[in-house]
Amino acid sequence: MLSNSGSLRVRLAALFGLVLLVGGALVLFATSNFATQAADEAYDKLLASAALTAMENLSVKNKKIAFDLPYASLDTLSLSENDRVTYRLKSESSGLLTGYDGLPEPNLPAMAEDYKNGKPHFFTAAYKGEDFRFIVLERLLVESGVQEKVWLQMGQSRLARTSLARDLTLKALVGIIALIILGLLFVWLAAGWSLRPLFKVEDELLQRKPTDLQPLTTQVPSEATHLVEAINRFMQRLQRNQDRNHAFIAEAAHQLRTPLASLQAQAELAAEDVDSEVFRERAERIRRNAQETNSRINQLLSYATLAHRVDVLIPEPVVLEEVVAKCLADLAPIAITQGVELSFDNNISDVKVTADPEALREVLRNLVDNSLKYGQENTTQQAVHVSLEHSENLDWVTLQVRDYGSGLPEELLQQVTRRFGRGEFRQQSGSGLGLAIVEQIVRGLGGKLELENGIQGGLKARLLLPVSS
Amino acid sequence: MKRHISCLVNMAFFITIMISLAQAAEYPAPEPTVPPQHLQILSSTDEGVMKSLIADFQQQQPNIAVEYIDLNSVPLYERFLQDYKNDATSDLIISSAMDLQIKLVNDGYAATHSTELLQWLPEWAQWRQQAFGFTSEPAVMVYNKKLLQGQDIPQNRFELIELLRDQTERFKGRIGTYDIQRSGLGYLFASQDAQQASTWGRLTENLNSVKVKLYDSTSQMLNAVRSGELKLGYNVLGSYAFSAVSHSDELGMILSSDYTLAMSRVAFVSNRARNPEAGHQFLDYLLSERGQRLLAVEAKLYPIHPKVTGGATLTDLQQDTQNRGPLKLIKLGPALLTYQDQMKKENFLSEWRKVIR
Repeated sequence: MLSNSGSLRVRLAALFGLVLLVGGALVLFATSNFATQAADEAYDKLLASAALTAMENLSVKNKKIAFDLPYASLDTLSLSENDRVTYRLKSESSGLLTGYDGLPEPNLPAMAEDYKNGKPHFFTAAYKGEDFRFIVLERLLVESGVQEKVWLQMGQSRLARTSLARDLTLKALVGIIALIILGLLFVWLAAGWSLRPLFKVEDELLQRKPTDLQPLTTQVPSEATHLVEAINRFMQRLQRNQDRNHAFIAEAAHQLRTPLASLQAQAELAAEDVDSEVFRERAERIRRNAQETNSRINQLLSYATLAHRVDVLIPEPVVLEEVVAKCLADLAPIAITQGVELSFDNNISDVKVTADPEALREVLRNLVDNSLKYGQENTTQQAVHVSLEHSENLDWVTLQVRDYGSGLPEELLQQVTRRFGRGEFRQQSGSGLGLAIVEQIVRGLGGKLELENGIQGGLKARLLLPVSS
Repeated sequence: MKRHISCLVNMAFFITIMISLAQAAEYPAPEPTVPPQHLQILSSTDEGVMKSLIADFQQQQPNIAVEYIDLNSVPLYERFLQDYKNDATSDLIISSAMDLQIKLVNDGYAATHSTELLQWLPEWAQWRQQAFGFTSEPAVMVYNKKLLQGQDIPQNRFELIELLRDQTERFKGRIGTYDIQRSGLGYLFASQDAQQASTWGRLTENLNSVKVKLYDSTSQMLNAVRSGELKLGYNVLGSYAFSAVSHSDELGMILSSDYTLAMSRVAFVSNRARNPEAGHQFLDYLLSERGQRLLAVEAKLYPIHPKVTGGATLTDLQQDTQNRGPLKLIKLGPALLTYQDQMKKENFLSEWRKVIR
C-alpha cells in the first residue's frame, strides 16, 4: 500500500501508471492473439493457393493417378522467404503416391467438418523439430476405371507467420508504450494543475502576518473545501484562544495592580507609624490584603491552567462518588477550622460520568471553596451541603453544592452565565471569578451549570452532567 | 549409351562405383595446435579446382587440417544422408546440384550461418541463412571452332533447333549433352530448361534425331568437343568451359541469347558436423572478397561478389549477357524441390528416355 505521506503527483502517477500497465498488458495480449490470427490468415491464403495450383495438375492417365507438381506451387510458398516446405499426395488405396513420408496426420472429424462447410482443412503440428502449418485438400477422382479419394497435404514452417505476428505486436507495443508515456505525462501535468489552488492556499498562508487569523479567501475546488474549512475553523479556535489570553492578561494585570498598589500604600503608611498599636493594626491589614491577593493570584493561575485544559480535556469514565469524596476530604480541614458543617448526600450509588477527572475535581473544589469562603457570612447555619441525585432526565445526574449565606445578587447571577463565553470576567470579584472558571470547564465537559439563590437564602450551584453509558 | 535400364538399378550401380572412387585429399595443418583442428569438406567440385583456395584458407587458419572429399553430386547426397544417420557428417557440404542441396536444407540437415559479414550477398544466393550459393556459373554451348563456323554457329536455342533440324545428317552423333539420369547438374539444367521455356520439347526431339551423345561429366564432354568428336556440346557448365576455351584455340563458347541459365554451387554447414566451427570458417572464407577473388582467378568458378570483376565472374557474366538476352539465375529456395518430386522426376526422366533413344 502507498503510505500517506509522499507526493500526490507521484501517488497519482503510480496509480495511473499501474492502471495503464495492466490495461496495456491486456491490449498487448489481445493484439498478440489478433496478430497471430491475422498472420495465419494471410499466409494460409498463400498455402491454399500453392496447394490449389498443385491440385490442378492431378489427373488420371492410363488408369493411373498422375500428378505433375507444378513449379509455381512451391515457388508460391517461397514467397515466405525462410520457411521450409513439405507435401505429400496420398490415395485411399495405395497410400503415399509422392512427396514426403511421415507427415503429421490431420484430425479426421475436424477435416470432415471443414469439408462439409466447403473450406480447406488447416492445422498446425510439429514436424521435424519445427511447427508447421498444414493444408489438406481432398479430391474424389472418378475417371475411366479409377474411383478413388486422394488427399494433397502441403505444409510450411511458421517462421514468416511468427515474424509477421511479432512485427504487428511490436508495432502495437510501440503505440501502447507511447500511450503510457503520454498518459503519465498527462497525469503529471494534470496533477500539478489540479493542485494549483492548494499552492495558492499555501501562498496565502505564507504571505500572512503572524497575527492575521482571518478565514482564508482563496477559491478552491470542492474536494479541497473541507481542508480549507478545517484550516479556517482551526484559525478561529486559535483566534478565540488568543483573545482569551489577551483578556486574561489584561484581567490579571488589573486584578493584581490594584491590591499591590494598595499593599504598597499601606506598607508606606505603616513605615511612618510610630504607635505600635496602630502599626500592628496596619500590619494585620497588610497581612489580610496580602492573603487576599495571594488567593486571587491562585485563582487566576488556576483559571489559566483550567482554561487551557478546556481545550485539551481527556474524557474518561469516572465514578462520581469517588471524585466528590476525595475532594471533600481535601477541603474538610478548612471547613473544620472555619467551623462549617460539610456534608455529602449520595442518592445514587456508583454512578459514572464521562469527564476529565482532573477538571471535574477542580470544578467541585471551586464550588465548595466558594461556598466555604463567601457563603458563611450573615447566616445562622454555617454549612455546605453537597448532594448527588438523578436529574429529571435519567441520562443526567445533578451534583448540587448549597450554602446558606447571602447568595449572589440577581444581576450577578445573570452576568455569570452571560459573560463567560466571551472570556471576560472583569469587574467580577471573589466568587465571580471562580464561577467563571467553573462554567467554562463544565461546558467543556458537556454539562451545564445552574446558579440559583435559595428561597431561604444561600446559593445553590447545580452541576448537571451526562451519565456515561 | 545406357538404354532401357531401370533408373534405380542404374543409380545404385553408379553410386557404388562413385563411393569406391571417392577421393579424399588431405591438407595437413601448416601449424597444428593441440587439440588438432580438422575440417572435412564433402564436395562435388573437383579437388584440383579447389586446391589453391584450401591453401589460401590455411594461410589464414594455419591450425586447421583440411580433408577434402570429392564426389559426384548424387553419391555425395547419398553419402551425406548415410553419415547423418550415423550422427557424424562432414562439416561443410558443397555441391553443384542445387536442388539436392536445397532438399537437404529444407529437410532440416543444415546449421544456420551468421550472415553479419554478408550484407552484400544477393537475395537469390542464400536461403534460410543456411544454404549459400557462392558461384553463378552459366550453362553454355561449346563448339569446335574448326568444325563450326560463321552462320552455322547457333546464337540461341532456336538457331540450334533449326540447325539440327535442317542439317540432321551433318550433326548425327556430333552433338553432346549431359546424361540427365546420371548427372545431377545435367538434370538441374534440363529441368530448368523444361520449366523456363517452350523450346525444351522441340530441342529434345531434335537432339534425338541427331543421336545426341550423353556424358556424365563436363570434362569428358569438353574433351570430345576439343578433339572434334563433337561439333557442339549443349548446356555445358560454363566455368569449366571458360577454362577450357581460354586454354584452347579449338573451342568456342556461346551464351545463348534467348536466355542463359546460371547455377550456383551451394554450400551449407551440417548440423551434425564433427567440427562445425571450421565449416563456418571455410564458408565465410568462400564468401569473403579474398576467397571470391581466388575463385575467379584460380578456379574460374564465376564468383558472385560484386567487387570481384574480370574473367569468370558474375559481374562480367552480367555485362556479357546484358546486350544478348536475359541471364536467369537459379534462385535458391524450395521451388527447386519441384523436380525432386518422385512422380515428377520419374515422369521427366521417362519422357527423356522416350525421346532420347
